[in-house]
Amino acid sequence: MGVAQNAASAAKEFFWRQLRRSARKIPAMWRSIVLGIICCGVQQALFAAAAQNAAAQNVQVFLEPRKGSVDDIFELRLTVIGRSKTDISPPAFAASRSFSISSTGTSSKHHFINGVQRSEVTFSYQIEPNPRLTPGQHELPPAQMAIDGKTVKLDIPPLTILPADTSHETRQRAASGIDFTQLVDNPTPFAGEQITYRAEVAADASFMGGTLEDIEFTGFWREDISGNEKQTRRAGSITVRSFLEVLIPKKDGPLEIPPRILTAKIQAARPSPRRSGGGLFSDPFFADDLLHNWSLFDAGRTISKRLTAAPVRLNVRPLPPPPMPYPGYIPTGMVKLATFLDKRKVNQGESVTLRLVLTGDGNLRPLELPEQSAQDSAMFKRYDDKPDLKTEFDNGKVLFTKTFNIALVALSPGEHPLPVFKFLTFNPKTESHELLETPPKTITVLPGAVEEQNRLAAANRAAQSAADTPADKRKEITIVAEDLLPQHIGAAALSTQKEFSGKALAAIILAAPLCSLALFFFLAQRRRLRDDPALLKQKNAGTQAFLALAALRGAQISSSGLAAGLRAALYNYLGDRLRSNIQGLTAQECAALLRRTAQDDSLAQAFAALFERCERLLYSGATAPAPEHGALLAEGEKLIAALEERLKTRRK
Amino acid sequence: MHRICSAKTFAALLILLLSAAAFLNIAAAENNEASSLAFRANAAYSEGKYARAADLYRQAIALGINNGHMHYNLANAFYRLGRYGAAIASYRRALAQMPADPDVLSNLALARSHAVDRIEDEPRGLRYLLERMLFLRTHLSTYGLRWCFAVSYLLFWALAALHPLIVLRRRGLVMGTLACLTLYFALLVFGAREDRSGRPVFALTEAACQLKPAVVVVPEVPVRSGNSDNFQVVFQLHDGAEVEAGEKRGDWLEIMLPESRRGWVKHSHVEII
Repeated sequence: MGVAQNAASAAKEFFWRQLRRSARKIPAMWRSIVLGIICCGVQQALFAAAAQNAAAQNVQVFLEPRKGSVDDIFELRLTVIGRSKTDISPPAFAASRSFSISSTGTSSKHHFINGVQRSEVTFSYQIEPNPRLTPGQHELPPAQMAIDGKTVKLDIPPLTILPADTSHETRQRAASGIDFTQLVDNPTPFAGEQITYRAEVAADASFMGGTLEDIEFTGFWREDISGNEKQTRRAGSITVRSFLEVLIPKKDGPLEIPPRILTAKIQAARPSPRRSGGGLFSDPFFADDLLHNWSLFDAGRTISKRLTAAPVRLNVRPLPPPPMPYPGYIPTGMVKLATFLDKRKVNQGESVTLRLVLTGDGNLRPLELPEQSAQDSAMFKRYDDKPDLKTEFDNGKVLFTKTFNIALVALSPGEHPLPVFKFLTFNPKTESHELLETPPKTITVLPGAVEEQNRLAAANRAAQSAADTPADKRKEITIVAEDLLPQHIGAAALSTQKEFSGKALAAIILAAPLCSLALFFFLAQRRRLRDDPALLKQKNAGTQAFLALAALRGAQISSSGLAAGLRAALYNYLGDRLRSNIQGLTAQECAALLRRTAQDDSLAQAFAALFERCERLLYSGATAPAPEHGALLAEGEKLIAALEERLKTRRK
Repeated sequence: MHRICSAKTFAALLILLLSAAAFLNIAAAENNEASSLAFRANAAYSEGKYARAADLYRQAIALGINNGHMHYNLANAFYRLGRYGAAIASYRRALAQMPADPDVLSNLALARSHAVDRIEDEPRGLRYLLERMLFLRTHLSTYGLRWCFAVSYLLFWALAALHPLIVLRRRGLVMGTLACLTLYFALLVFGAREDRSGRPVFALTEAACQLKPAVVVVPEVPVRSGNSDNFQVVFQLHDGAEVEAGEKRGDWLEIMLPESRRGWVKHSHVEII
């Protein structure tokens, strides 16, 4: 034993020593990390174990009240109490004809009690019994729910439906101090006379609110009084809440307003602290004896009650026959008429706007303007604007204001009485008919443009409609009519058509390039002449030679002078014309050059002969004018003309 | 001497020729009789005698006052008579001579609003872009376009002719611009036409050049598949319908509508613009 103990302690010591040695080999940082992970794991394991040991899930069922009539609404609450992380699916109820079950919400709570984390999930339901359900004990439809994948069947206690008389007593007891009625201000109205209907709830402080079911008011017009339908007044500890409607009987005869149901929420009386068993107050959270079974935060609980008000029966009286034949609608009530006219004097074609304002508690919705009489039609053209109706709720009554805007266009100039509009009403106070009519008024119509009257009247109506929209005061342009723009009658309208004929265009198309080409060559030639003086001299050689010979003909000079002049003129002419320097050449050399250029032997010989004659005369020494001077100059001109012609012919 | 005289004569003749070509068509002689008719027509129109006014306007046009204003006035008279097709045709004629005239455009739109048949042919895509190139045709009359073409054409050739004399810094650019301008105007004058609703379209083929806008001028026209009453009625058109007129055979005229719809109507039932 001692050996074994020694071996064990040695082994233990060896283990720890090896562990410490191994730990020393691990770096400090990694030691910390491993230690942290081990600690977390241990903590999780401890929590898991604690959770496993926690209280099992508990489903508590609360049903209140356990007894009631078919008119009562029962409240069912299913609370699942258990661990915080619980997968809970909502309860599923089996279908039932006896009860209608509807969910009113789900709530959840999480809290620590004595260091134990707990959670509660509450599913609330409203149970309405079938009205045909017989008195006695009835089982609610079976229900089940899944908690953490496990299906749990719910044990819901049965409900006891009490007989009607008992139910009434129970109701009265439960809703003590609440009175729900419906009433009208006048049970014998005339047909068309408006009455005020009230659904009133007189209750003490236990009334926490309710839902009033809507009903069909068959046989009545129902006026909209949105925002004014709820009224509240206090009388001591009782508060009277009224839901108002303004009704107008459509026709005479008996009428009935059907029963109306109010689902009221009433604060229930506090139960006795000794009360035990299930239900809402067995909730362990609230069941703290320290606070006498009541939480400080629980001011009480509400229960829903369905209250039914008795029907209201009316006897609608017929209107007496009118004192005069009147085809239109006769409003029943106090109605007044006011008339406004925008102007008294207009141009012909212009319109005046007559505004009729009817105000009163009679139903003015169906009221329309009477038809225009034949007499008025002959005098005026009438354009009725869309009537404007406004309602106002005042002192329990709806006050109607109906406005008619009538544009009247006089068909002829002069003083015209305006049409008189008559409305027949029935006053229920005096129980007699009253005739409302517009006062007689006249307007002065000055002569004007008759053609415009229809369009202007329409424009006025459109403008009036536009003025009714207060958002933007600017008026949109109203296209009254589309028509042609007028004739063109100016001087331009009488001018003949400006035409650019196709022939002219063709002429331009053809002529322009040709002219341009000609002009181009013309200008190019001008430029060549300007740039080349020899060419200009060649071009003008003939002219210059003729001018020189003409000058010699008129001069009184000697034969030698004439011969020198003629010889110089001819030399210049030939030099310019042939574009070569011939001043130092003999007559025969000039002839040879001319022969090469002009390709004409006879002409070359003639020029050579003339040169020789000039030289003979020059060197003869004669001072007096010789008789053959004229012939010599004529011979020179003839030769020049012949050479010009010859060169022109050759160029062609 | 002789050569110098011939050059001057040539230059003078050239100037005369150009002047004559430029002012060939300017003729503004007042026609008293036609003016009188126009005045009487205006008076009749003011009195509401629209049929009489239309008759007088037509006579005035026939006598020479064939301008856009007179066609416009005639169209107004037709409109008043409820002959919207004839009115549209006359407005279109007025518009050809006074393009972008606001009065004509406004009244034409009004007349078109009375047309019974809705024929839609809005150009899209490339066709729309190409036709937008011809926008100047809707702003200038035929007269104005021809003038523009003539001026740009003459300017081009004048610059070409004066080439030796005028020294331009960017001659190529100027000449190129002028050439493009001339070609554009040539395209507008010779290569474009109005379609059935007055929009400018290209007309570069002979067949396209032969199409002319036309308007139905009778209350109802049966359009037949061929040029006689023996052919079937393929569809019907009504007063004011704008179509394109093509070939003419006897009394019958071929008309065309978008989506390749075509048929034949009696020539008297439509008015070619």
